[in-house]
Amino acid sequence: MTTLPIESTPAPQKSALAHDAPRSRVLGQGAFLTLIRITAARQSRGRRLLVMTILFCLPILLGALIRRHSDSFEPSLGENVLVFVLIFQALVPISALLFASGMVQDDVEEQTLTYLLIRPIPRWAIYLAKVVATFLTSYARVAFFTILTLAVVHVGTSTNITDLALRRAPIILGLAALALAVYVGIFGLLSLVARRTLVIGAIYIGLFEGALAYIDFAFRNATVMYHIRVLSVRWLEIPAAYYAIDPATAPAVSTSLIVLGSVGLVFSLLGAWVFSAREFRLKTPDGM
Amino acid sequence: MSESVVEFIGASKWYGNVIGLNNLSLSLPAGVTGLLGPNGSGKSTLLQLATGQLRPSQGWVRVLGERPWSNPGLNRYIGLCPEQDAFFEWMTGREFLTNCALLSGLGRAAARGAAERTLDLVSMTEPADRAVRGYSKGMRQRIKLAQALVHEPQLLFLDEPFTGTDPVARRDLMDVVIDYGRKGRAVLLASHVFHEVQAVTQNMVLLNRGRLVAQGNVRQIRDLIDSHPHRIVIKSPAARALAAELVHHEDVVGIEFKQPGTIVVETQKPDAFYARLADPALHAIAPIEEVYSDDDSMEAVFKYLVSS
Repeated sequence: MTTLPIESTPAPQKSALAHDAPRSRVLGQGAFLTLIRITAARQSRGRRLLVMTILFCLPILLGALIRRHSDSFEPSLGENVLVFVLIFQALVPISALLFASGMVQDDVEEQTLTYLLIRPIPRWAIYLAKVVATFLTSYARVAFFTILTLAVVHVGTSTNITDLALRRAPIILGLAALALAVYVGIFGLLSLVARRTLVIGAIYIGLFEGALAYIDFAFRNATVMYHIRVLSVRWLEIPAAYYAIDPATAPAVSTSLIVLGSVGLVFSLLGAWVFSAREFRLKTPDGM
Repeated sequence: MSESVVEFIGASKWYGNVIGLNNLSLSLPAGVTGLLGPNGSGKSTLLQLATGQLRPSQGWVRVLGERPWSNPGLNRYIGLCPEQDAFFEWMTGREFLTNCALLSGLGRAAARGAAERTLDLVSMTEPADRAVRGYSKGMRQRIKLAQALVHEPQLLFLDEPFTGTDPVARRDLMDVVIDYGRKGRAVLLASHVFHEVQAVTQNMVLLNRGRLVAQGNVRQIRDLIDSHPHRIVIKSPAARALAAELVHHEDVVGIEFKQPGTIVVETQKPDAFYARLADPALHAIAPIEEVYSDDDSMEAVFKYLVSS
C-alpha cells in the first residue's frame, strides 16, 4: 500500500455534524406513514395480487353455484363451509403467507431496500411499517371478499339481515383481522429466518393449522386456527361439533384473545429484532 | 490538518469465505475524493459499510465521528447514490423524490419543495411526472443522484454514478458533484473509470481486492508510477537489433516482442530512456518509426497501480 498526502479542503461543518448527529433512533410520523404507503403500493400490484383475487373469488362463485343448483340451501352450513373453512382456514393464511413473505424479500430482490435503509429510520420501524402495511392491504382484500361471500350466502334467504349486518358480519370481520394479524407476524418472521418461506409456510398451513387444529389434543392449543374457532363457537353460536371442540374444556374467550394477541405481537417484535440485527447484502453489478 | 469525515480502522468485511474488504485503514477528509478500483475491488462494500448497511466483520468504521451501523440518526447527514439500477418503478420521478425526502424526516411541504429543487438541480423537472419505469438510463442516473441529494446531506457517497450515461448527462452529473464539493461538503465518488474520477477530483483512493493500493493526489500517483517500470512501445524495421542495443542499459528491465517490427520496452527511468532514443547513434543501428507510451492514458496509470 502506498499512502500519499491528499490535498484536502477544510471540513467546516464536520465537528458540528458529529456533535449534532443523534445516536438515538429518530422516527418521524411522516416517515413511518410513507413507509406504510410505499409497502402498501407495492403489495397492491403484481402477480400475487392477481392470484389472491382469483382465489378469493372462489367462495363467491361456489356460493352462487350451490344456491343456484341446490333445492335445500342451508345458509348457516354455506357460511361455515365458505367463510370458516375456505376463507378462514385456507385463504386468510395463504394471503398472509404470500404477502408477508414478500414484504421484505421483494425489496431485497428488487434492490430497493437500500433506499429505506439509508434513511434516518430505525430498522425496527421499517419492519413494523411493513407489517402494518401488509396487514392493512391484506385485510382490505379479506374484508371485501368476506362481505361479498356473506352476501351471496345470506341475502335472499331466511337469514335476519339486520343481525347479520350489525352483529354477525362485524364479528366475522374482527376474527378475520385477528387471524390475519397473527399470520402476518408469523410469516413475516419466517421470511427473515428461512429460505424457502413459501414451501415451509404452505406445509405449516396444511399440517399445523389444517390437520392438527382439528385433532382434540393439547397440541392444537398452539394453533391460531383453534383459537379462532373457539372464538367463533363462543361468539357466533357455530356448532362446536364442526371443529371437534368441547366448549366445556375449550379456552375462555379472554384466554384465546390473549394467546392470539401475544403470538401476533411477539412474532412481529421478533421479526423487528431480526430485521434490525440482520445485514441485507444486495447484489451489485461488480459483486462487491 | 483537516479532520476526517470517514475513517476505516483495520476494517475487514467478509462474506463467508469471500473477502470484501481486507484490514483497511483509511482516513478521508472533506472535499471530493475518488474511490477507484476494478470490479470486485471492494468499493461497494466500503460504501455499504460507511452507510451502515453492513457491519464490519473486524475493525471499526467511523463516519462524521459516528459508528454507522445501527445509527439511523447519522443518516440525516449522509446521502447514498447506490450502484444498482433499482427504483420503485411505479412511482413518478417527483413522487420518488418526495417520498425519499419524507423518509429523510422532512415535513410534507418541505419534502415537496426539496423534491422540486433537486429535480431542477439534476435537470429532471420536465419528465418528473412520468413513471420511473419509462425513464432512459441517463434519466434514471439523474433521479438516483437526486434522491441522494434531496435532504441536502453533508456527506455524499456515490457508487458508479455515471455508469451508462450519455456524454451530456455525464457532464451534467459531474458538474452537480463538483458544485456539491465546492460548497464545502464531502463527497466520496466510487468508480472503476479513472478519467471519470479525474474529471471531478484530484484526490484519489485506489482499492484492489479489498485492500488499499494507494492514496493521494493524481499527480503524486503519477510520480509514484514513475518510480516503477514504464512500458514504451517502439516501432522499427530493425526491432530485433534495436532490442539488442537497448537491453544493455541499466534502466531497461524488460523487452517484449509484439507484432513484427514492434517491441515494448519496460524502463524504470522513462525520461532518460526517451532522451536516449533521440541519439543518432541509435538510429544508425535501427531507425525508429514510432514511439509511444503504453502508460500515457490515465486509464493505464490506474491499471498499472492496481495490478502492481
